Amino acid sequence: MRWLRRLWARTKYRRHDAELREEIETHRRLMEDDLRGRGWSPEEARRCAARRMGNVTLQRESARGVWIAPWLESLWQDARYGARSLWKNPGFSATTVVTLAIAIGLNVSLFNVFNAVALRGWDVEQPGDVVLLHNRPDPDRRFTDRFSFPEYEYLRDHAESFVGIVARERDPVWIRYGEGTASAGEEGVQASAVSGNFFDVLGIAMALGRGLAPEDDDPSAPAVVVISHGLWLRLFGGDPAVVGRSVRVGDDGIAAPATIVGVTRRGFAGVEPTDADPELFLPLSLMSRVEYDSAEEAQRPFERYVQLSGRLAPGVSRDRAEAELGALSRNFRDSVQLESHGFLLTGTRPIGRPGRLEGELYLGFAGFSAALLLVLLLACGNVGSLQLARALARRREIAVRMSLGAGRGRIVRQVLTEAALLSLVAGAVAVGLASILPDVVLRFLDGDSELPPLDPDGVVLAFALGLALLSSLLFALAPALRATRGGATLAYEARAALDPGGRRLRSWLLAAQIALSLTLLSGASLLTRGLDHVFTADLGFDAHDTAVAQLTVPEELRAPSTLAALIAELDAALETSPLSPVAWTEVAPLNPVRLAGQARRPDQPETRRRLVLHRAMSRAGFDVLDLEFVAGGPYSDRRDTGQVVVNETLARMMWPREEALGREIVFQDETLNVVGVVRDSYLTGVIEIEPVLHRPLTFGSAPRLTRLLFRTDRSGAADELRALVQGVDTRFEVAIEPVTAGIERTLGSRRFSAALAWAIGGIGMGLATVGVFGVFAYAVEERRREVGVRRALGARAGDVVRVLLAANRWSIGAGLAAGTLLSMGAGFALRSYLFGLSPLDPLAYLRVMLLLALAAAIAVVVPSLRALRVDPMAALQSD
Amino acid sequence: MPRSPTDLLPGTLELLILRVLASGNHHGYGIAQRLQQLSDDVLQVGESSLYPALQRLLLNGDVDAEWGLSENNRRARYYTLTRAGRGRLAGERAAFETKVAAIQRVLQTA
Repeated sequence: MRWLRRLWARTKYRRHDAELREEIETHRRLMEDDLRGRGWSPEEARRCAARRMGNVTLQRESARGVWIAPWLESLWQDARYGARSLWKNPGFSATTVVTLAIAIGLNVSLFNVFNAVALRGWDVEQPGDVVLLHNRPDPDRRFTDRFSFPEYEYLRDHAESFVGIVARERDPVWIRYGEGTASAGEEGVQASAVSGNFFDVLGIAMALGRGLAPEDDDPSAPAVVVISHGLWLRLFGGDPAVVGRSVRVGDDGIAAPATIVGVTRRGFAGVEPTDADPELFLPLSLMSRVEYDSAEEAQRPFERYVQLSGRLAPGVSRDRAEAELGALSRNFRDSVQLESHGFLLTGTRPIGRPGRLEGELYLGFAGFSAALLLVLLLACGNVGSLQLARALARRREIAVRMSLGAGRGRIVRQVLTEAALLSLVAGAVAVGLASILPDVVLRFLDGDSELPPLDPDGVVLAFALGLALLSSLLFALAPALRATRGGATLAYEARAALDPGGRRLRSWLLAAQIALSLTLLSGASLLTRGLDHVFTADLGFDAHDTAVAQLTVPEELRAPSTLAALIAELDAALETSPLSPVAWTEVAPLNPVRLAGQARRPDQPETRRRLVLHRAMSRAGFDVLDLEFVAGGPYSDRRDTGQVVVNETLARMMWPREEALGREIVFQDETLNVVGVVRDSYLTGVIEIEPVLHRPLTFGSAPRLTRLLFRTDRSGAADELRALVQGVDTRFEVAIEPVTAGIERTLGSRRFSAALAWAIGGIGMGLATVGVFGVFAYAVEERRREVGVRRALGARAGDVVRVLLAANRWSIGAGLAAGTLLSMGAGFALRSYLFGLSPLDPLAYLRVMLLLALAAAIAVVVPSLRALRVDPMAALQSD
Repeated sequence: MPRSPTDLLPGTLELLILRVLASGNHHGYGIAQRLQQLSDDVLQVGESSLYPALQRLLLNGDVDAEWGLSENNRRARYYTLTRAGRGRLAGERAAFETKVAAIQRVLQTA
C-alpha cells in the first residue's frame, strides 16, 4: 500500500507540493495571528514569525522527501533540465550521439556475437536441463570429454538420472549427390555422427521431414541422413522434394547410399556454437560403416571418440547424476581394466567448461574487443573535447547557478546527467546496430557462414547499458570537474583562453588519441603484412611453381577394370612426357583437412597412440614439391612394401632422442617401415606444422585417386597436362589450379580478421582525426587574437603555423611515443598471427606512419589556414 | 531549556502527535501549540520536524488530512486519526510505557 500512495504522490506532484506550501504558509499566518493576539504589533509579529519559521523551502523539501527520495526528485529535475538544454543544442547533441552510437555499437556488436557463441546455451529445447559429460582427470592429465562407444552404451542403458544420454562425433565426410543427373557433384562436408536418440532427447526442430530416430542407428537399418538448412540450399537449391532423395556418403569404395529423411530448421547450426557448423547428420552406426578402419575401432572400450550429453530427469540434481554416472563408469571400466576418476557435468554454455578451450577463438575475441574498446576510448576523447568546449562556453551559466547557491556536486551531477542522457540514446541506437551489423559484415565478407541467431538478449542489453553509462562518466566527468573548479567567482571571471587546466586536459586527450589510433592501425597493418608474408615466405616446399589438376571421372568409366586400364595408360603417358615428374596425391598441398590416423611405436601400448595426419602421394611427389630429405629417401611406389616417409615433427614425437630412420611404426594396426624423414614444411596448411605420415598412393590402394600434382616452371604446362589426360580419354574433366590458391582458402578467416582490423583501425583513425582537428581548431580559435597580433607585427604564414604546432608539440610527441610502445606490445601479442614476420616489421609501421601523417596534415593544415585568414584588425577589436 | 524533538526517543514525536489527535482534530500549528501547552513548554516542536512527521503518518495511513477553516477563518489542513492510527497509538503507547519503565528501573537501580 505504501508504494501505491508514493506513486499517487508522484503523479499528483504539483498539487502535493502546492498543498505543502499552503499548509506551511498557514502555519506562519497562524503563528502571526497568535503573536498579534498577545499584543505584538503587526510588523513585529510578521518579522518574528518569519524568523521562527526559518527556511520554509527547506521544510517543504524535507516534508516532501518523506514521499519521494530527494535524490530521485532532483535526478528527475536534472534529466528534464538536461533534455531541454540538449534539445536546444541539436548540433552538439547529434554529433555526440552519432559518435557514441558508432563506438558503443561496434562494442555491443562484438559482444552480441561473443554472447551468442560463448555465453548462450545450446540451441535445443529447454537447454537448462541439458548437461555435458566430462571425465574428471587423473592426477596429471587434463579433463577430457571423449568416451568410448561401449561405455556410452552402458551409461545410456543404465543411468536413471537422465531422460536420455546422447552421443555425437564430428568428422568430415564425402557426400556425392545428384548422381546420374546434370547437377551431380561431390563435396567434403562437416558431419555430425549422432546416436539415434539425439534428435528426440534434445528436441531439435526440423524444416522438412523428420529427425533421426533410435531405430535408424541400428547397423542393419536402411541408411538415412539429415541435412542442414544451409546444405539444403547449397546443394539442392532449396528443393522441397529433397526428402526421400538418395545421396552417397563416405570414403571411396565403401561409400553407402543413404536416404535424406529431413532438413534441420533454418539457423540451427549444430549444438555446439563453436564447432564448424555440421551440415550433415548421420547415425553413428552408419558413420562407422562408411569410414575406413573404423567399424571395429568404434567398438573398442579404450577408443574414446564420442562426446556425450544428456537431459537430466525432472528433479535430479547435477551432483546426484554425477554420483550415479561415476558409479556406473567404475563398474564398466573395471570390467575392461580401465581407470575411472569420476564425472563432471557442466551446462551447455561453452564458456567456463573444463578442458580444451577454443583458445584461438577466445583470443580473437579478446583482441578485437581490446581494439574496439580503444575505439570507444577515442570516441569518448572526441566527445570529451566537445563537452569541455561546451562546459567552458557554459561557464557564465554555471557561475550564475553557483552564486545562487548551487553546490559544486549538484552542478557536476547536472552535467553528468546530461551526459548519461546522451549515452543512453546512443546506447539504444547501438543495440539496434548490434542486432544487424554482425550479420551484414559476415554476409559481406563470407557469404557461406550461417550465424547463430543474434537477437540481443537481456545480457546484451545490460552490457550496452553498462557501456553507455561508463562512457558517459569517461567523457563527462573530467570536463564537469574542470568547469566547476574554483567556485562561482573564478568560474565567472576566468576566460577559457587563459585557462591552463583546460588546455592541459585537451593536450592529454590529443596525446591519448594519437597513441590509440597509432596502436589500432599498427595492429591492422601487422596482420595484413603477416598474411602477405605467407605468400612470399619459405613454406618448406615449392608452392609457387606447382599446380594441382583435379580429374573428374565420369560415371561410365568408374568400373574398376576400365579405370585401372585408363590410369595405367595415363601413368605411362606421364612417365615419358616432358612434364614428368607428375605425382598422384590424395589431398592437395596446403589443404589442412584432418585426414588422419592413429600411430604408435611397436613397443608402446595401444593406449599411447597419437593422431597424425595422413598424406598419401606417389613417389614422384617428393620431387614435384621439392621436399628436402633430412635422412633416408623416398619410398618405392608399391604399397605392399610397407614403406613410409615421416616429417621431422612426427619423428621427434615418436623417437624424441633417437634416429627415426629404419624404425618400425604402427599406423592404424599396420606395421610400417620409416625409409625417409623430410624436413618440416607447411605442406598441410600454413597455420601450424603437424606430424605427417606419407604413404605411396597407387591405383587400388584407395581411398581416392583423382588429383595430379605437377610443376609449372615451363610455360604452358597446364595446357599440356590437360591435353595429355584428355588424350587418354576425352571424357575426363580436368580442373587446374595453382597450389598457392590453397593458401587463400586456408587463410579465409584470417583475411576476414585482417579486414575487420583495418575497418576498426580506420574508424579509430577517423575518430582521432576528427578529434585532433577539433582540438587544433579550438586552439587556433583560442589564439585568434595572438595570431592577429603576430600577423600585424609582420609574422609570416609559416611562423604562425609553427607557433601553433609548437603549442601542441608535447601532445603530438608524447602520443606518438606512447603509441609506438603500445603498438610494439600489440605486435608481440599478435605474434602467432604473423607467420614468422617480425612484430617490429618496418614496412608495417611505415604504412601506418604515412597514414597518420596524412591524417595529421588534414587535421592541422585546415584550421591553420583558417587562422591565417584572420584579419589582424578584426581579431584585435573582437575582444 | 526547551527540548527540541530530535532529543526525543525515535518515533516518540509521531506517538505524541497521534495522542494529541486522539482527543480531537487539529491543524499543524494547533498540534504544535497543544504539544507545547501540555508539556508546560518543555516540548517545542519545530516545523522542520513536525511536517515531515505528519507526512510520514499520512504515508502510513495513520492519519487523514482535510482542508477546513481555522477559528480565525484561515484555510488550514486538519488532521484526523484513522482506525489504523488508533490501533497504532494503542500499540506504541504500550511499547513506549514498557520502554520508559525499563529505563526508569535501570536509572534507579544501576
